[in-house]
Amino acid sequence: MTFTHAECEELLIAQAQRGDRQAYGELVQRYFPGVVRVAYRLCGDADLAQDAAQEAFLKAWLNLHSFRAGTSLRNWLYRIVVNTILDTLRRNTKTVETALEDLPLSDPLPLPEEHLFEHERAQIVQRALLSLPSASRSVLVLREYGELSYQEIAEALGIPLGTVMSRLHAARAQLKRLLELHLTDLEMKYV
Amino acid sequence: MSKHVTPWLSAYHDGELHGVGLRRVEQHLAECPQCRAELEELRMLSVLLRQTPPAVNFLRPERFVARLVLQLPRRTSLVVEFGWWLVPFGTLAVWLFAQVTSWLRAVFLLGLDAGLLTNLLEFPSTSLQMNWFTALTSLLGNHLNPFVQAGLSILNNLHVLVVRWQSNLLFEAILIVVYLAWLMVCMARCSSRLRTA
Repeated sequence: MTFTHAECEELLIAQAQRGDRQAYGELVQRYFPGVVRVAYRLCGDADLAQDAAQEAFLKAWLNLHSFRAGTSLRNWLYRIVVNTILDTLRRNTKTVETALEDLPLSDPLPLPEEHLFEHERAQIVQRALLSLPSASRSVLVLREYGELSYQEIAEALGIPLGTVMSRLHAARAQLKRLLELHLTDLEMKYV
Repeated sequence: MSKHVTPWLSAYHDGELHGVGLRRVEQHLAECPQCRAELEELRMLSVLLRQTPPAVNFLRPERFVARLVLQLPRRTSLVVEFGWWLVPFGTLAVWLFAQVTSWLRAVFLLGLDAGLLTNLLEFPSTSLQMNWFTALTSLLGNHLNPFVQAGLSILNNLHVLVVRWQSNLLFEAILIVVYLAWLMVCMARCSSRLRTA
């Protein structure tokens, strides 16, 4: 008998809800890349993102009994990690500002030219994301990196659907202006 | 040409427009090169964001899981959770039971002493007697007419009721303290859950 992906996930969730750590470990392994990616794009610091992911998975473990069957575990985890990272950013403004300022434009280690180009572009993109207001950034990150629908974003952030639309529109417009400026400076193009 | 649809392009690009809104944007795009160019820029922006890898390396998922699993705290079992919810309902049930039995007993005794239940029940009066009532009935027992005696008996029972209420005050205070303590812990737990949700 073979299980579909969704059935397998439901089984793992049910086992984890009964306290099975191994089953929860499998779920974490499945969702860690997405969760840490969203966290990183929100804060721009790898250590902070991993700590936030860890905190989010611990919170999820403790509250797994309140998770409703039939809803998306991924969306629930994203919601927890976004709240966790935004709380951390609010508590730790100074650290984040320092992290932003310290973000180097070029890597200290010698890289091949094409890697250097990719690396610089990655840093410019991350800097541009971090320059957005946190409200717009959350919406944009959940859409582009979390791949959530507008309705899912609205539920995750507890905001109306219209606000998701307007914030996303504003975030993209601002990001486009910033990236056009910086990527043109470096004679790079969008893609 | 109709008005530019710039504010709707993001939603169109994400496939989040439906019905009339979708048709309006599609019609406009068919005739407006400026909006088509903006849409293309949005597409390129999404590609850039999604295809640009992070400038850092993260832990491998297996390593992260190994580290996390060691830190997973024990969760409260269903029995503990059931016991937790038993506290407020148990407190309320005990309080209601005490109140109801107390009132029923008072009504029963009043009825018994007033002679209203004598035809229905064969029970002798088992009510407690206050000192003043005992003294009065032993002194004037033979000289009191039945109506006065019944009135005094009712007053005695009311007095007994008041005394019982006083003695129950401590019991009720304990119930209130237990309930308030549970409520405070519950609020702390809820605020913690809200932060995670």
